[in-house]
Amino acid sequence: MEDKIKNIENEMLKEVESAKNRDGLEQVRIKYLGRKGLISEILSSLGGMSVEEKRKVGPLANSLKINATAVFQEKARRLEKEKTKEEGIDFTLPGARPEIGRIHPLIKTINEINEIFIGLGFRIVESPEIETEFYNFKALNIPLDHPSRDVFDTFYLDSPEKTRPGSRRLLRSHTSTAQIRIMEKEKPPLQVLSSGRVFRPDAVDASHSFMFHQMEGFMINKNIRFSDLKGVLTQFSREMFGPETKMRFRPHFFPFTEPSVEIDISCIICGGKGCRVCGNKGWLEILGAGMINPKVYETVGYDPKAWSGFAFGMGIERITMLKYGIDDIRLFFENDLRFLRQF
Amino acid sequence: MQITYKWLKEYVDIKAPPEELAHLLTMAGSEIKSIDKKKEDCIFEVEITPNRSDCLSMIGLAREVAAITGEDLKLPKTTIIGETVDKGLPIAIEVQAKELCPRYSGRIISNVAVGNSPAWLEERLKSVGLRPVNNIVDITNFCLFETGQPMHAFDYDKIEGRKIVVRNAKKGENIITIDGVKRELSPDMLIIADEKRPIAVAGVMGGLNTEVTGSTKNILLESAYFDPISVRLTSRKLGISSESSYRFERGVDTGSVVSASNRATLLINELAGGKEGILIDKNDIKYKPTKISYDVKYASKLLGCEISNAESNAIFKSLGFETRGSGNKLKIEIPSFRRDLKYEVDLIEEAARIYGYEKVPSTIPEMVSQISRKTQARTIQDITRELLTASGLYEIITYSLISRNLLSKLRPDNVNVISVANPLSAEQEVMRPSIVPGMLNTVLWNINRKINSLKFFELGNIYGKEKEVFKESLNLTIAMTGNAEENWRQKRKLDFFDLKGVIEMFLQGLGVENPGFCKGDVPYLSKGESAVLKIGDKTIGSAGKLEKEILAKFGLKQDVYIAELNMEEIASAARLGKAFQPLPRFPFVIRDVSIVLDKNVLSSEIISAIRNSGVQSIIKAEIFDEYNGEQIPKDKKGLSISIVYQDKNKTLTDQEVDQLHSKIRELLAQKFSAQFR
Repeated sequence: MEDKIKNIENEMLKEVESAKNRDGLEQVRIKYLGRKGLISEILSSLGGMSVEEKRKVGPLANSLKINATAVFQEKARRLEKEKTKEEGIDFTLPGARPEIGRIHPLIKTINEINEIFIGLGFRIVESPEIETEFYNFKALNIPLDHPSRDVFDTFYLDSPEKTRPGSRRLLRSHTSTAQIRIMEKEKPPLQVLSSGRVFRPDAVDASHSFMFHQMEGFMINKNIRFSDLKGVLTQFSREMFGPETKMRFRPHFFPFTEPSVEIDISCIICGGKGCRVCGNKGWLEILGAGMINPKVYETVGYDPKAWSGFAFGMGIERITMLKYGIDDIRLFFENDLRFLRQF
Repeated sequence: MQITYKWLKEYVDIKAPPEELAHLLTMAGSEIKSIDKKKEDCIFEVEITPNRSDCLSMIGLAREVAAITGEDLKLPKTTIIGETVDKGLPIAIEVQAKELCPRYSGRIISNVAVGNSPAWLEERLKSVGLRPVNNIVDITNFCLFETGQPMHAFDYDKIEGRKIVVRNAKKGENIITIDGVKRELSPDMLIIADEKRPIAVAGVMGGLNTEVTGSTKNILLESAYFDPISVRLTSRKLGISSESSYRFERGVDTGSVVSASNRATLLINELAGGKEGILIDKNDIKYKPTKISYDVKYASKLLGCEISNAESNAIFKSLGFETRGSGNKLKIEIPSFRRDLKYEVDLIEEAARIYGYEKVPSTIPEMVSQISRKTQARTIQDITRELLTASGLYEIITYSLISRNLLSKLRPDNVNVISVANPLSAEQEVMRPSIVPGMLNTVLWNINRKINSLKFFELGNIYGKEKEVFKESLNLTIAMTGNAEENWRQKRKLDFFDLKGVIEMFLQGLGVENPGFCKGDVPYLSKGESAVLKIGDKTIGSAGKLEKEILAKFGLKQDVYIAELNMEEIASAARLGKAFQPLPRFPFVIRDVSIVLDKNVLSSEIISAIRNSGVQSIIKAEIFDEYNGEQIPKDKKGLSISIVYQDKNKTLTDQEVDQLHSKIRELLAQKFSAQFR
């Protein structure tokens, strides 16, 4: 009898396993657990057994029934799952992504800087790209004999009529022209930011381009101090490059500011230890700045004793290259989609 | 410029190790770009700003070190006692071009023994990257590095007519410079000549004809001041950049002409023997030292940091300035080697940089509150970028300068195009009058890299002449090519309506009311698949498929759809502040109508006829199908229009809608001879 129970169990397990669907499984279930099924038969045969036999066979038969019930339920669950899979989707196929474009990385940088300075109370203005010698040089205290006035450093435009030296048309070689454009039109206090394309006749290579982008900012009020320049630009750098950014202010020279300063931040790649990007110096030059030269105020008719202020400028390509680790400036103007997609 | 730690130490005591010294110099404005540690010395690459020509020498930088560290400056001896005249060696010096050469000095040194320099001198020159030549030339080079004053030694016996003339070159003159290259000279160049011919390009390079060689017995030592602009232009024109021209271009110290000559003479005596003659000094410079008033209080106020009277005084003295006055008001006398200092702010910078920019605190000024943080134009640009990128377009930036050749592919005439007077190459000949050529080049660039589905836009200026006035105006250009969609579910080629849809969405986003696509002729667009865009009567742009011929010129093989839009017109038509429209309270009813009508009738005419029908309850009318199947005669087309009726004040009944709809049907039948299907 015991062997018989064992055989029934084995047979049942085999048949359950090979059941292909719910109907097949139901057939098997009826065969074993149905009212006239094999297991039911054994249970009902218990009545005609001796006490001793009953004690032996009874528990076996009972546990067979319990096990069998569990086996059928489990198999039913599995079949249900498989069925869903058969009729459902292949969710591993790619999703239909809505295609969105990207703004150019240089514009992204400009926008980021704009947002920071707007937060500091600055205003964004536009300034022309076609300029005159007056705005690009003279008004900014760049004398006639300054090397950057050479044709080698500025693109001049073919003028309709012959113009005198000093009033020739040119493509701005820096965005500092915006200072003069605004100061000419408005009176202080001023907190202004302007960015855009600038042009210099440089042969194109991995780090030079005859067209690039700059941003210029300035602030003029009563009693603006050199310490304010340090404070505002420190705040900007920390927001732009992270709160841990260290800075250093080096004396420098610009004709339109005095005192002038060049600002380095601790290398954002190596944190100041020295690496390829910072030329092992640990510092990256990012800003030129200074207190606006009284000569500039004189040109636009401000009283240099009444007003003071600072101006600053930065190269957008340089900052973008540092930020993303881009090593070739030409990538910005090739506009390879594989490049643009990354921003 | 290269300097060395050991050489610098000759003129000032330096206690700081090289790295620290580099830091000190950098933080005072002479940036040390790199440090090259050698066995016994340390080479610094130092970047001197254009205003500080005085620092283009060991003594100049030693003065900086002295000011920063408080040590004393030690200068070499430059006085010559008991000058003798060698009667047998006469020389006449005539300066004709006094404006370009306000000071010229010459001294004859006779019976020198030309030979190799001693080891220490050769080492010095090698350490800053110079090749030793002979003791005479080496001494002039050494003194150039020491004092910043370039000098030149001529072989006296090769000077024809015993005469030096400083003059402009004559037309057709030429010279073989000591590097062996024949140079054509032009009248704007300053030269040193003898009686017959040029013997040096002033301040740039000497001539081979009077070079000091092993057989030279007597020399003429030149020390002069040449006009910086003249030297720069000549050096650029001839393509020669020498240690000498580099310094003259930035302006040498007019006051060091004689002392440097003396220093060199003393060294020549020491190392090559010889007998020196009297210095002939043709000096036209009447130097009066600049005096600047300095207000200590004002300086502290501008810096936001107090630098006391005593501190300020000490700083100025250490830099070699004379100071007078007491209390807050100082009078500073500027030496000739610091011509860059002209105004009080210049001195404030001197005080601040020696005091240390690092010691100035960081403060936040009181900000002014400004209402408009962005101009309307800027806001519109930002929204434009948002809307276009949201439509799947990538922003590109192409050059504002392009070649004539590239432009001519788009349009044959170059009228009213601004050209560049001094382009570096053909790639920068003209200012783009359109973004299209640059954009098509970008399309080609990508297609050549097997990226065939592209949607680009550029927001930038285009340039042109309008009645001889230069104009720049903001333009938006869009290019689309390849597939509109490509994924495993579907692939569909782009067409005109993909481009049009982007433009419509964009204009709607800016609140531009009633833009219209109208018939128009755009030379580079296909006649059958293009339109001009108008707001009211104003043409604001164009859109369409690129003409096959143009496509071929750019080397493109697949269709490209292009739109050009005038952003200034669009900005003035934009309405950003929109009022809320209350939601309708009563339901709407849709009625469709399918008609067959003349092929030439534009669907926009139908829609505007329905809109202007006077039926108030029509809130929307749009085409939902166009068909040209077999059932439609060749000169006709079928259109299906969906019209939405809704009343603000009540629910429309079926009968009411039927009535309104039949009015529309009547209108279509009458106006367009439409037949109903």
